Amino acid sequence: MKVVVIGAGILGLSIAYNLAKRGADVTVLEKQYPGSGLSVRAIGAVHSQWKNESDIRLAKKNRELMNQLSAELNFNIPFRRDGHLMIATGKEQLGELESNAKLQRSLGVDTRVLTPEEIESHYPFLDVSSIVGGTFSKGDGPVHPFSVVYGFWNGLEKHKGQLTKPTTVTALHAKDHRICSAETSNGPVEADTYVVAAGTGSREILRSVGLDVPTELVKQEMLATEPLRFFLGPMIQEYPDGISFTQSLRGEIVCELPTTGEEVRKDNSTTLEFLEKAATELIRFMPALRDVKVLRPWAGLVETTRDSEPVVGRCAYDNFWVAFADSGKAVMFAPVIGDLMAEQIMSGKTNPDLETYSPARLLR
Amino acid sequence: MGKKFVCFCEDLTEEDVLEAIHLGYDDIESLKRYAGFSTGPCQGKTCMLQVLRLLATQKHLKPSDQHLTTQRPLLDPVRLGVLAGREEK
Repeated sequence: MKVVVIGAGILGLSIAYNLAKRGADVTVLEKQYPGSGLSVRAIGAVHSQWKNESDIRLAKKNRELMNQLSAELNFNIPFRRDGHLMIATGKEQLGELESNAKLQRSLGVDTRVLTPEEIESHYPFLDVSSIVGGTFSKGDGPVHPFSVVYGFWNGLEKHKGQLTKPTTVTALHAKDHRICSAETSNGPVEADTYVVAAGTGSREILRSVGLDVPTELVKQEMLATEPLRFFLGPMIQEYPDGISFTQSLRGEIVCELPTTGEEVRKDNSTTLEFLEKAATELIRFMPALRDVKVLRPWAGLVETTRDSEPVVGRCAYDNFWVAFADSGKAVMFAPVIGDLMAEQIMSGKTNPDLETYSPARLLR
Repeated sequence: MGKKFVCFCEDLTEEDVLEAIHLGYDDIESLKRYAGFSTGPCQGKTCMLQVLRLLATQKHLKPSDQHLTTQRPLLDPVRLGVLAGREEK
């Protein structure tokens, strides 16, 4: 089976690698460089503390796959199972975390509810005065996103797949319920099956064959500080959409926050508002960081849907599959989405674990 | 001969950069992320041109035919306490 995957982000490369592993003849077309959208901008949270069953199931399978990824790809992928700590600063948020944890435990995820005193005793560098409680799962933890991107790229090439860059796909053509060719900056490309995993460029490609999925862009900004001696193991996140922060293995404190408001430019530019807010939040939870210097901020766009779930699955045509609008989940779900999508594409049968994410729910 | 450093912040030598290029990280963005130059306190001020020169030589291009990675604030590292200052008042 000849497959063209459009987009060499973490999802496209995971799908491409998993297809090549199963014997498909895979070509990935990338218009910039591997991971160039959000994949290499993420700070790498991998967690299973979701509030609905399908996300929890997927996340649980995903972290097992993530854990074996270094060995499978023979590539150093530092997935640090130091846990993911969700903290709540309000009673209502804590209530949600507690009921989420109950559901997670019923599905076999080891989530525990922690009091502020327990949080403080595990992580004495945290100022818990504004924290009312939290949840923690030990099997979660931060991963280094570049290494996942490069690991899949490497694995793809080992299985004789190829990555062509820079190649821009301008349109697809359809005939008799099938996609029949892709028009690119290097001429037309034909295959048996087509996969679009082009991040924020996906919608435009879909429109060329009369399909559209409504999505929204949310600006996300990140920063890294100067390196410190390693002390911060887990990813810490203020639930539900406050700051997330951890320490990279090189010692930098890295954090991310969404930038909202009507004035916000939906591009990759950096804002002073973010720097001020992120600094305030980091110092609020870790006062000792006051004297640590910021080296660099950066930014990216997260594409979300009305139900905040990714768009993953077969899309209107028999030989057409998509994976985009990841709603912030691409890095943390890439291994499992790649695995299940490749299985579906090779067998033609849809997997119940991916049903929730089907494009059919949003197509117009 | 001693080591030829191109990036002091991240301890990268010319040899390290050439190895990364030969492994296939042969565009400036992938090379930066794989090898790590331009991610330390200097943010590329000492290493970027060195790496561009190596990349251009390897790919038989002019340095001017290539682009730099995104240049962002801050010009120099700034303390979190200073950045948080305006909000705290």
